[in-house]
Amino acid sequence: MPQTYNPQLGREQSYPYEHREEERDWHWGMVINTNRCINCNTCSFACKSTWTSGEGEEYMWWMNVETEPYGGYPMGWDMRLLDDLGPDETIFEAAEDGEQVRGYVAEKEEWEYPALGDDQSHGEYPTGEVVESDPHEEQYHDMWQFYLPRLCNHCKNPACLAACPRQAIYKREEDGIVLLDQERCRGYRRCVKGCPYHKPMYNPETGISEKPVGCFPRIEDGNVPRCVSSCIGKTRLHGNINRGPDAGHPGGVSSAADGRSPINYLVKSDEKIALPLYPQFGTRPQVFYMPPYHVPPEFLTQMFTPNVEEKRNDWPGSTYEESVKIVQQRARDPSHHVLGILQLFGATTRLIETYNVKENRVKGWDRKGKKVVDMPIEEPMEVREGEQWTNQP
Amino acid sequence: MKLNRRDFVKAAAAGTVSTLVSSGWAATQSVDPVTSVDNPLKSYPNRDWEEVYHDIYAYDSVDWTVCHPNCTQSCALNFYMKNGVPIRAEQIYHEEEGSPGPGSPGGYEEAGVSRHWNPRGCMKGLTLHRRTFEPSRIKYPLVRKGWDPEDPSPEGRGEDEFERVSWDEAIDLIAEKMANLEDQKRFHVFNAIKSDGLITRHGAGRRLASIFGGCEWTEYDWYADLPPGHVITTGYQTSDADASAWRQADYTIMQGKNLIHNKLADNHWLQETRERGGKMVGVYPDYSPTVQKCDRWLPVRPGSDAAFALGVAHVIIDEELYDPDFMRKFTSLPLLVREDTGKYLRAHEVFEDHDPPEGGTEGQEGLAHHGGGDDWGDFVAVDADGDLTAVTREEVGGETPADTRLDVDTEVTLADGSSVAVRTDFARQKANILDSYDPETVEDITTIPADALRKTAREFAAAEKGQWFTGEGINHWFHSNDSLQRTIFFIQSMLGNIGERGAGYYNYSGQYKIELLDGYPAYVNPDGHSAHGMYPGYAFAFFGGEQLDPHDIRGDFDRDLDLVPQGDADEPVMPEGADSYTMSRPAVLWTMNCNLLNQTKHQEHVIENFVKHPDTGNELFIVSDMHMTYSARHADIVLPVPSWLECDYPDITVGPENPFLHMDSGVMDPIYDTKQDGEICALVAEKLDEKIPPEERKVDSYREYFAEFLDDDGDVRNYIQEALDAGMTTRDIDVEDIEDGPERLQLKTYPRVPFYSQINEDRPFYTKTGRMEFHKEEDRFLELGRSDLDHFESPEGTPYGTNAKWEEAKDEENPLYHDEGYQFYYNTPHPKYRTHSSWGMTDWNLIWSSRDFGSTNADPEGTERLVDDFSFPTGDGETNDSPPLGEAFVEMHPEDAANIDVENGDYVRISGKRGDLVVRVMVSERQRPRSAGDMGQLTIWHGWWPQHFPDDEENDDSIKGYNVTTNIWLDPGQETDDLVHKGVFGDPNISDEVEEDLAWHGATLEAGYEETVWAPTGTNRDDLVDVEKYEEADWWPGDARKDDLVSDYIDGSLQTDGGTDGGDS
Repeated sequence: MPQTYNPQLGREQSYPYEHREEERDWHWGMVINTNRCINCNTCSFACKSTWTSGEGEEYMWWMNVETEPYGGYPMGWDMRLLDDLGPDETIFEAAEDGEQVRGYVAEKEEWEYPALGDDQSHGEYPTGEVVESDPHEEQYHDMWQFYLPRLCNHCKNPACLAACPRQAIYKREEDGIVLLDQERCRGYRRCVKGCPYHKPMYNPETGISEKPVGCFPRIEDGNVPRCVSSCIGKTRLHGNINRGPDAGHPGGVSSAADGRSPINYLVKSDEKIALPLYPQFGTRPQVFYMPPYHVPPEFLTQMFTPNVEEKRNDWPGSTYEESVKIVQQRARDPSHHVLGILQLFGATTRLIETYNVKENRVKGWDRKGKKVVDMPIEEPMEVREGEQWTNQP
Repeated sequence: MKLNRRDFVKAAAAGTVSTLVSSGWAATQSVDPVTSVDNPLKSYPNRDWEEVYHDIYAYDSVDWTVCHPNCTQSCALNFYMKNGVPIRAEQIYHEEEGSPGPGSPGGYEEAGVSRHWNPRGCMKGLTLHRRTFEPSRIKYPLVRKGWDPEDPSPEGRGEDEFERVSWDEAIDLIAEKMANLEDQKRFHVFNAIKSDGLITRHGAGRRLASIFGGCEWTEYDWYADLPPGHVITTGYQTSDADASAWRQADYTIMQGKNLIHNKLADNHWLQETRERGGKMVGVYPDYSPTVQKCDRWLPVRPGSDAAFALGVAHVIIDEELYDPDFMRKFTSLPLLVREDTGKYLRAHEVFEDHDPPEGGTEGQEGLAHHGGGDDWGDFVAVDADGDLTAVTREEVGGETPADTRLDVDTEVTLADGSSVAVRTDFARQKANILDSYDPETVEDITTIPADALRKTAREFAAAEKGQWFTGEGINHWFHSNDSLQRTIFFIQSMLGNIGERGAGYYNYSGQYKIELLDGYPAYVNPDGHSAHGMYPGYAFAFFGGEQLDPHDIRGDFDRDLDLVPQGDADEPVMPEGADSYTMSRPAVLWTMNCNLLNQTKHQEHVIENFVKHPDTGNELFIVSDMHMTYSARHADIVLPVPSWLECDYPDITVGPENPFLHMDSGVMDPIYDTKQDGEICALVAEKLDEKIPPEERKVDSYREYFAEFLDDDGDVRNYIQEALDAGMTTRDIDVEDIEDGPERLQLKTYPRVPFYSQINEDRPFYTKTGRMEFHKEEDRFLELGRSDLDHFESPEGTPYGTNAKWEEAKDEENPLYHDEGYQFYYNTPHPKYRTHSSWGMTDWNLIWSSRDFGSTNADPEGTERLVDDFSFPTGDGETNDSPPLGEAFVEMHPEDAANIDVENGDYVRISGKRGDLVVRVMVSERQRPRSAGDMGQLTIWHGWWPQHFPDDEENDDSIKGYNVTTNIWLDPGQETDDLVHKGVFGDPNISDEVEEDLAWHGATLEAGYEETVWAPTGTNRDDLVDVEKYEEADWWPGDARKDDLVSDYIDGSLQTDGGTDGGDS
C-alpha cells in the first residue's frame, strides 16, 4: 500500500491511493470554536432542511451536535473505534483482511436517537464545593460537558473513498470536497462502515448510500456551507485551509490582503489554536476545533490529538497533553490577532479568502479579491443628544 | 426488544450485530461490473451526476418574513420557494450583498448596526415551514357540540366533539354573545405577549376590547414573568439592555438564567465576553447548560438565591469595596428614614419653612401616601457638617447635595419640637446585612461555600464593569422575585454598575417590551378608548365556580388579611383607590396567540374550578390558534389562524434585547380556511354594528375602527404607519422602509443602556425619591416586614421553616418535607427546541426535545399511545394524527433514581399537593441530588403538550401535563396601589418636551396596577413533590454511565490503557 506523510501525526502512514504531488491551491476547511457553541443545533436543522429531508433520509443528520461525553450519533461511534484501535494505529493500518479500512456498521437503532445525551453532563455533584476552571492554572471543571458539532471532515485521506469498492467516491480537484457519486453507488455500505466519523449514511428507500456534500453548490457560488452561515453562535469560519502565508493576492487584486487565509492562521500558524477531531484515525480531517477550555485535558487529548506518548508533529508543547493545555489557554484568552479573526466568524455568508486585522478593524476579501467584510472589532457606542431624548425606553 | 448503547457496543464486539439488521436496512449484495476509476483521490472521470445536488439545492424564488415567537428575539429569515412551497429557510444577513433576500441586491441595509449582529434565527425559525404543514393544524372554524349560547354546558369542555362551521356562523355566534352582554367589561381578550403581532394579529383584539369597553390581560403578568423587584427599586418595568451591550462586561454573574437555552439568536454576545477578558460565574442548583460556559459554578439551594446576593453585599460593605459617591448621587441610601413609622423623613417635618406636598400628607387623598402626581414632599439627608439638608426629587445625580453622609444613626428634632430616631437607608441595610448575612451564615442558607462567595464578591467588586442576569426561573419563586432583585440592584448601586454599557442588571423574561414601540397606544387605545386592565393572577384564583379559601390561594400565610370571599367579584381584595383595573368575570374569554391552559399553573384547579365547573362565570371560551392545542381542545369556539408564512396582512414586532423593528408578511398561500386575528376582529366589529343599536355603543361604529381590513380600498399598513408616526422610537420610519428589512429603533443610545440618562444626565429614577430605593415606605411592605432587604424561606419549597427569615426558619422543619415526604423541588425551566409549547408537535423539534427518547421511530409502545392520545375527538373537526416522535421526561439524579429502583427510561409518578403526573425518567448527573444537603431536584422542561405524557392507569383524572403540581399564589406584597412607577409608555422626565402628537405626551408617574409593570402575578414555582416508581420501561435507549467502556472513554484512557482489545488487531 502506498505511504503518505500525515502532518497531523508527524509520520508516514499507509493509504490505498497515491496523493497528488502537490497540495491543491484551494481546499475546503473549517474551524469551529466549541467555546462559543450553545448546542442550539441550528446548523443541524439548516443542513437537514437543505439536504436530507427526503424519503429514507428521516434518520439522517449529516450535521449534528453532540454533548460530550454522553452524546453520540450514532451511539458510541467514537468509543467503539477507539476501543478497536491500538495505540498509534490508523484505521488503514488496522484494516482487516480483504478490507482497506477498519470500521464497523452502525445499525439502524444506533442511528435513531440523534439527541441522545443532549445537554447531559458528567461528574459528581459538588456538594459543599464549587466547580471552577482556569486553564492558565491547569484547573478544569470536575463536572463537565461540552458541545461537539460533528460533520463530514472532507479528509485528505478519506476513509470512505478508500473503502469504496466501486470507486464511486472521489475528491474534487478544485476544492477537495469528497463526494459520493449517486449514480454509480450500489449501496455496498463500505463507506458507511469505513468512515470513522460515520457521516456516509445508507438510504434504505433508494438502496444507495449518501454522504455530506460540503454544500458544494454554495461553495461554487462563493458562499459558505449552510452549517456555517446558519450558526447563530458565530462558532464557525470556513475557507481555504491550504492558503498559506506565501500565497499572493486573491484574484490578483493588489488592494486585497495577500497571504494566508484566516482558518489557515488558526490551524497552522505559530499561534495554533484549533485541532483536528481524532487525528489518530489517520484520515487527515479538515474540520478543526478550538477545544473547550474548561474540560479536563486528558479527555481532549484522546479526542483532539494523535494520543501517543511520543509527540511527533509540529504542535506546541512537548507532549500532546501539553499541546491541548496550551491551545486551551490560547482559546480562553486569545491574542488580539486571533480575536480579530474571531470577528469574521458569522460576519458574512461569503467565503473569506484573505483578511487583515488592525487595532479596531478587521477586513476580509473573497477569492476574487473583493472586499466582503470591513467591520470594527468594537462597536462604537452611540448617544442621541437633545432634550426630548432620554433613556426611554 | 431491549436495546441500549452498551448492548450495541457488546454486540458489535461479539460480531452479532447482523441480528439487529432490519430487512429494509440490508445492503445490496450483488456486485455488478464497474468502469474503472484510476485514482479517485486525484481525479474523477464523469462528474455530470453532481447536477443531482444542484437540483436539490435549486429554488424558484426567495421571499422573506420574520419569525417572532415568545422567545422575544424576532429574526428575519429568507424562505426558499419551490412550486409555491417553502422548502427551507435561511437567516438574512445584515449588510450583505450577493445573497438573496430583501432590499437590493440582498441583505438588509438600514438596520444601522454592525455585522456582529449576524446571523439571527435559530432552529425553530428553520422549521417554520414544517410547523406550517404539521398535522396538528386547525383547518377550519369549529364549535363544540355541547355548547349553546344559552346553555354553555362547560362540563363538556375538552371532551365534546366539535363540528365545522362557516366563518360567518362563527363570527355571528361571537358577536351575538358580545351584543347580549349586560356589562361590556365581561368581554375579555387575553394574549400571551404584548410586543408582537401588534396590529393585524392579536393586537387587533386589544383594539376591539378598547372600543367595546372590555378587558384585556396578558400572560406576561399572570404567568409571573414580571420581575417586581425592578419596579420596587427603580420604578421602571425591567432594565434590559440590547444584547450587544453584554459583550462589554468585565464580569458577569448568571443567576438561575439558562441563557444558553432561551436566548439563542443573540447568545453569542454573552459568550464573547470571555474572549475579551471577561469572567463569568454561574449560580444554579444544577449544572445548567449555561454552567459549562462559566469559569466558576456556585451550586445553590433552590429558593435561597436572595441570601447569596445578600452575602455578596455583606462582603462589599464589610470590606468597604463600595463607591460612596455613586450611592450618594443615585440612590436612597443617604436619605433618612424614621425609625418610628418606617417612612422616609420629609423636609417639611423638620424644616418649619419647608412647604408640605401640595396634595397634603395624610389620609386617602394624601399624595404622599397614594402615588398620583409627582409630589410626595422632599426628603432629608445629613451633610458633611452633620446638618440636616433637604433633598428634592429633582436633586439627583450631580445635583445631589455634596458629601451627604451615608451611614447615619441619630435623633432629629422635628419642626413641632418632638424628636425622632432616624437612620439613613444605608445604615438600615448595612446593619441588617452585617448582622444576618455573613458568608458563613449564607453558606448555611445556600450551601455555597463561604470562601467561594467571598472570592466572587471581591472579584466582582474589583471589576470595572459588572453585569448580573436573573430570569424567569427565579421570578417564579415567591420571595426571590422581590428580595433577590432588590438586593442585586443594591449591589450594582454600591459598585456603580448602572447606566453604563456592559454593566447592569437584566432579566429578559418575556416579550413584554412594548414600550419600545411607543406609538402603539395610538392603535390599541384609539380616540382615548382603553380596555380595562386586569389583575391577571386574580382571574384564576378567584373566578372559579367552587368556594376555595382565598387565603390559601393568595399566599396569605398568616391569614391576617381581610379577604372577601371569591364569589363576590364586585368587592374583592384590592388595593384601595385603584381604578385602572377591574375584577369583572370573563363571561366571554377570547385567547389569541396563547396556549393558556397548557401553561397555566395549578392546572387541575384551573380546569376543574374555572374551565369545566358548572357554575363558572365563563359562558364562551374562544381560542384562536394555529394548532389544536390543549387550550383549543377546551374551547367552545375554535378559530384557525394562519402561520406567519401564510399571513396576508403584514405586522410589526419589537423585542427586549435587540434594537430592531421588524415587519413580517407571508411567503405562501394559506393551506387551510384560516383568517388573521385582525380580520376576525374586523368581521366581529362589523357584525356588532348590525346587532347593537347606535345609542348603546361605546363608539359611533365598531366597524369604522377596522375599516382598513374591510374596505375594498383599505390598506392595513395605514394602521402601522399611524402607530409609527405616534412614537418617538419610530417617528422617522415609514412602512416602506421596513418592507425591505428591519430598521433600528430610535432610542437614546445604541446599544440601549438602561438608565443612561439617570446616570449621565441627572434625570430622576421613576420612584418617589427620584432614586433607586432600597428601603420601601409603602404600607404594605411595612406591614409584611419586607420594607428592607432580606431573605425569606419559601412558603413551600424548603425543608426549613416556611415563609420566615433564616434566623427563625433554620431551626424549624417544613412538615410537608419532614412529615409528608415531599422531598424534591420541581423545576420547570424553559425549553430549547420549543418556545413554551410552540413547535411542540413539529417533527424535528419534538425529536430533539425528547432527548434520549426522541426518534423518527421512537418507542414502539409510546408511538401507539401518542397516536391514540393525539387523535382528536371524532366528529367533523377531526385532525390528523400527530407524528409519534418522542415524549416528555423528567431529569433526576442517578442516586435519587437508584433510591427508588429507577433506571433511565423507567416511568415514575410525581405527586404534589395539587396533582400528580406520570412521566419517563432521564437519569441526569447534573441534577441536584438529595445528598447535596436538602432536597433533590426534578427537572421537567416546560411546554410539553399533555399528549406527551402517558396515562396514569391507577389514577386517571384525565388532567395531564407538567403543570398539574404547580401552584397559584398571589403575593400580598404586590397588592399595593401606592407603589410609584413609570407607566409602560413614555418618560415623565421629559413628557412635556416631546411633541403633542406623540402618544405619550404629558405622561406622568403612576402608582398601582399597570399591565406588564406592576400586578399581583400569582404563579410560583416553590412546589415540593414526591416521586415513586410507576413502571419499568420495556424499551429504553440505555444508560451509558454504567458501561466500563464509557468510563474509560471519559477518563481519556480508552485508547492507551483502558481498551478492552486494543492492539490485538
